[in-house]
Amino acid sequence: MTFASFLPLFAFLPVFFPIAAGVAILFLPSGGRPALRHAWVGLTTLLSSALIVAAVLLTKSQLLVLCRVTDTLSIAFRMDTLARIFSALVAFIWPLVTFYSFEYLRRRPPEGRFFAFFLSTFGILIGVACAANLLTLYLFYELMTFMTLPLVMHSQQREAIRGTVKYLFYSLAGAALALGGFFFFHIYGVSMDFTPGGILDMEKVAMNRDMMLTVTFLTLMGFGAKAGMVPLHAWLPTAHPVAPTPASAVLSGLITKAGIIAMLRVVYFLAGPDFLRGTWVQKAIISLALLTIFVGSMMAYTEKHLKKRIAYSTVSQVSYVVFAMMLLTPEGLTGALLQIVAHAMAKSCLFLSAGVVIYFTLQGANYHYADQLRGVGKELPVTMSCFAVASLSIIGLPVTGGFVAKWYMASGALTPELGWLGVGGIAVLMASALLTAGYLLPIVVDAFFPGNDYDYSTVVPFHLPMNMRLPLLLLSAGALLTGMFAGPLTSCFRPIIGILY
Amino acid sequence: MTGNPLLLFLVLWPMAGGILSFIAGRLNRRLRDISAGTVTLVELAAALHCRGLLGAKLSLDGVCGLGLTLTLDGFRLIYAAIIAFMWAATTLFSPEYLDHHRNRNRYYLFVLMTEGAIMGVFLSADLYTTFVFFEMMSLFSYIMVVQDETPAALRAAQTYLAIAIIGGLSTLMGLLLLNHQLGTLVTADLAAAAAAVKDRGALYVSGGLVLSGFAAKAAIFPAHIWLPTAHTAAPAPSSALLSGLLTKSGLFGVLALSAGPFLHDARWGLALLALALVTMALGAVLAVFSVNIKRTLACSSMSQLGFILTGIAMQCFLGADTGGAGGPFRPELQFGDLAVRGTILYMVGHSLIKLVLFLAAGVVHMNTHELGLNEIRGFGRDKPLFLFAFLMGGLGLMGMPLWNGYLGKTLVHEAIVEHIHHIGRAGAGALGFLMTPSSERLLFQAAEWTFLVSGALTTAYVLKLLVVLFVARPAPGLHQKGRYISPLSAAVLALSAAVLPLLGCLPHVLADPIAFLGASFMNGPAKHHAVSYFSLSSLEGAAISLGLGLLIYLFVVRTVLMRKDAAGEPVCVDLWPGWLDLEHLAFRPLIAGLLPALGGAFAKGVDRAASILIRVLPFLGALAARAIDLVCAGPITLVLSHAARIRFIRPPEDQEFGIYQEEEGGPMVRALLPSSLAYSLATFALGLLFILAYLIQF
Repeated sequence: MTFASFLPLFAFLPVFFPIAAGVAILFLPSGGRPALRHAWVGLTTLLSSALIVAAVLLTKSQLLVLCRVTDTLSIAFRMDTLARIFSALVAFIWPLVTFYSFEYLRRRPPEGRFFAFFLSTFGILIGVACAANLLTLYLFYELMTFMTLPLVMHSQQREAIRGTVKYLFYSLAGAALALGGFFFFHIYGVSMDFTPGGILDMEKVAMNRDMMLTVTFLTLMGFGAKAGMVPLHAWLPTAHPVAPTPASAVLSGLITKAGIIAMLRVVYFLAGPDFLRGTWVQKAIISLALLTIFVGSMMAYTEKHLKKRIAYSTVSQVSYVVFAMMLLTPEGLTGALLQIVAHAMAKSCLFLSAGVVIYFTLQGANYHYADQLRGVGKELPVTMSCFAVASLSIIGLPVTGGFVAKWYMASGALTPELGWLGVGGIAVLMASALLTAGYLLPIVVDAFFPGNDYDYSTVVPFHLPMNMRLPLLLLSAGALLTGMFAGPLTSCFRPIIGILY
Repeated sequence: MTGNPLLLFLVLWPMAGGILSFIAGRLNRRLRDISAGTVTLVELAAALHCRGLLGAKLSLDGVCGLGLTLTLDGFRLIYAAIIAFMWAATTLFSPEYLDHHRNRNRYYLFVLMTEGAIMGVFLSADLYTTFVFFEMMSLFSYIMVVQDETPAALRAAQTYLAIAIIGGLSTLMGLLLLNHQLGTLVTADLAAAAAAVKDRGALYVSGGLVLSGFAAKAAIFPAHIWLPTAHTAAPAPSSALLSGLLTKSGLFGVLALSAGPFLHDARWGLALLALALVTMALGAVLAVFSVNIKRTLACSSMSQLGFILTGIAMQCFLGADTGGAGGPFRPELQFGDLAVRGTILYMVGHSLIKLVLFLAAGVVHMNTHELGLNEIRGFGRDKPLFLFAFLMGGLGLMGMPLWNGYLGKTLVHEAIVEHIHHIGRAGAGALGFLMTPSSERLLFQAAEWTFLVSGALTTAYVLKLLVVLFVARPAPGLHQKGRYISPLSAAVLALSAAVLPLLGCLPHVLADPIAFLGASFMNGPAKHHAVSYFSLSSLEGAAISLGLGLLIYLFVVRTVLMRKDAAGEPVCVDLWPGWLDLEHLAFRPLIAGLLPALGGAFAKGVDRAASILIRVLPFLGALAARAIDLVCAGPITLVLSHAARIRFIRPPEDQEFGIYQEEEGGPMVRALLPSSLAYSLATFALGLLFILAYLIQF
């Protein structure tokens, strides 16, 4: 066998190497020194990232079939543009969160189990992104649900277990809905491989248009569960806050996006934008997304618990993407993809900063509530600065990624097919941005401007370990640079946006 | 990046300099002060160097998505120079003022960042760029307001931020619509693009939305509420910048609209005029009632912004006199000249005046640590430099001939008079769609009188300040002896003050070129023709304002708003009722109370409904499953238990696993309603399959 014949196998590594490395942790001596485990986890995570980046940059987007199940169904991967964007994003954020966890998990044992599942999830997420057909996607999607359960349940306290069960139920129910769609796409499609513009056989569909629309709607609703879309959103504000903070960060920042990736696959690669444009499905999903955007922001505004507030914010922010992708306009899709990137960076940063605030402030008190943070910026200037920058991006103020994404999303909404729904959508986006400012900025303001009666003598600036400082700085810089250099970034999106022309 | 990099330097240098000064401040205070001062002086040199670069352009493709574009025309050059000058003046003044203050590194960082951002606003060549820098400026300047962190400052800053964000979002929404309607946001192309639009109604909606954010920054009624408190609470050098420049950045946006999509549009002008008159009069009245030197100056800013907005509105009317909305654009007609020049000179004049006055107020505050008029009474006695500065500023503000404030004021007044002359000359007036020429004439005569009376009120509150500071005997315990200002601050103050009479005395040498430079931005006339500033009719308006102001001072302020104390000294009385405050009456209850309450109730309702829905589905599924179980398995169980005498034990429900039914404790009808996950899932999927089967069937 020549080297060239191994090359295709090499291409599967980004998916399977992290999984294997994660499973291997379970076999490491559990009583051993944590340094050994950290070294293993750190090295394999970095290596995985390097593999992913190599795959993103070097591979062509040909189909890689791992195995055939039947003559039409197979487990297959393809590194197309969408997969590249999401994989690169995951490859950037995952190692940062991993390094942050080294420090964080010192106070939250057991480390071994956490890292085993954390690392495996890394690979599975890449599998979701690169899946070339609905079967592969579904498989990795369900795997992802199960692999993240131990992360949510980590503390094993009553609340955590409740949250996990709720998470499990909603995810499975959602996936079950999506699975229903699988059979129909199998019957009515010309092939099962994701194809830009859709796979539906229009002659077959012509007879059963309404049924196919209903099926698409249900499939989207099902995958929307992971993205926290109303009505299947209730698990998110329960499950995200109970997980240890690094897990919350990736759950909110990246795993919700797996639902989005699945929805993008359904809309742009299975059903096809032309099939959906102007139908009730488009309007219904947009309406649901708008409802979610508003409800999420409003609930976050009324919520006092810090992590819950950030989780509700995720409910709202991820539905921005749903809204934008369902507009089926080039600007809307650009905005949706930008929002995926910008929100992933900013939300991970918010959670990680909140984690620092909750567990590492030196005054002894654990801060869990948003109104307890007066003067925290004096103790944790770097952390709170990163929090502030990430907040600006979430609100969508210039020059952050969130702002540019919002501009594109709202521009895309002004399409004649939608009429007033589009204008109303922009109004909802603006109202939500206002609420977002209302629930994030007071935290920043309280932290940095405690008032002139604040007792500065008690302030002991906390030295943040580099493991935590660097991820925070890089993520907040990422949120900022996504906006400043949105031009080059959107030019990377061009192949996928081309579907709409 | 293509174009002249110097424009980018003007924007980025202060920002970089702010970070540099911040780092310097971590090492050494002196070093930071020197660094900040140097940064602003370099910026000033760069801005002045730009005078030879008129017409320069810069575009940064892809930055912030759409790309940013900067350009330099006459108006932008004027303001770039004024920004650089005022920032240099206030930054050089700051070290003395901020001595003994906390968090100075932070202050310098954000003040300099704000300078870069406001440069970006004034240099922007399209409204997207304007908006990007405008929002950055709003955010950075938050720190300028909150800096002292007194309860009043925190509250004022909260209002400032809320108004900035609400205004910003509404502007953003308007820009999106405008971009959709016009297909461009390039400032220079807006007028032509709008002329081609048929549906003016939609254009007014988007224009109004864009306007709201800019008007909020320009403290136009009813979004003025942040200004009196924010300008009072900020450190004095910041107040000077907030009042002199940041409000002007709002006007820049208003101008871009008025000289863009709504060029010479009388309907638009009418809306602006209405807002302008209310702002102008309300601000002046508030200033007369105020008993705090900085609050007086702040309310005065609001009133003056109303005057400037009147000028902008008059551009629309005078333009409409020549062609009318939607009519052919004829730049050769020069009717708008007076209003355009008046607007520019008023803006420039007010920026410079407020610099002097707020710095002077800063001198008072850093010596006395008080701002109340009764506490600082007589502070100015025996301080010739302070007297000079305050007098120059005060006379300029009043619109006294030979001081710079007079120039803009008289031109805007002339513009109103000019329009009254035009009404009815060509049949209907500019407002022919709404009213007859005679009622239009009446309307503008009322506007003219509001203008003059507001001018009179200006005179009255300036007189009040002058008398309190310089005529009254010093309040007991007021610091009197010794040095009250450092040489550097004194030089800055004297220089800033000396500019005012210089501009006013040499209008043809200094003011005319400024007005001419700026005119093209507002589509003003291309030809330069002389205006006689000191003609009899011009002086008449000033005389009415000043005379009436003196009367108001003598008969209203002295008798009603001031009392004599035991020693026969005048004491200012605060007669403004505390409850009469738009912020507390309307804005806060609405934005912080009613709307979130309604929205919250709605959101909670949806949240609840969704989780009930999710619980009902498995419940129904389980019900069906149990029924089937009972029907199928029941008989078998019965038979088996009787025949084989096997005991069947039903395992207790796993409490934890069925936890998504969140009821804690309490009796549950377990026999019929299992909360087991497996049941639910299985039956849920079953139900789903039924639905699908049904769908396939039909």
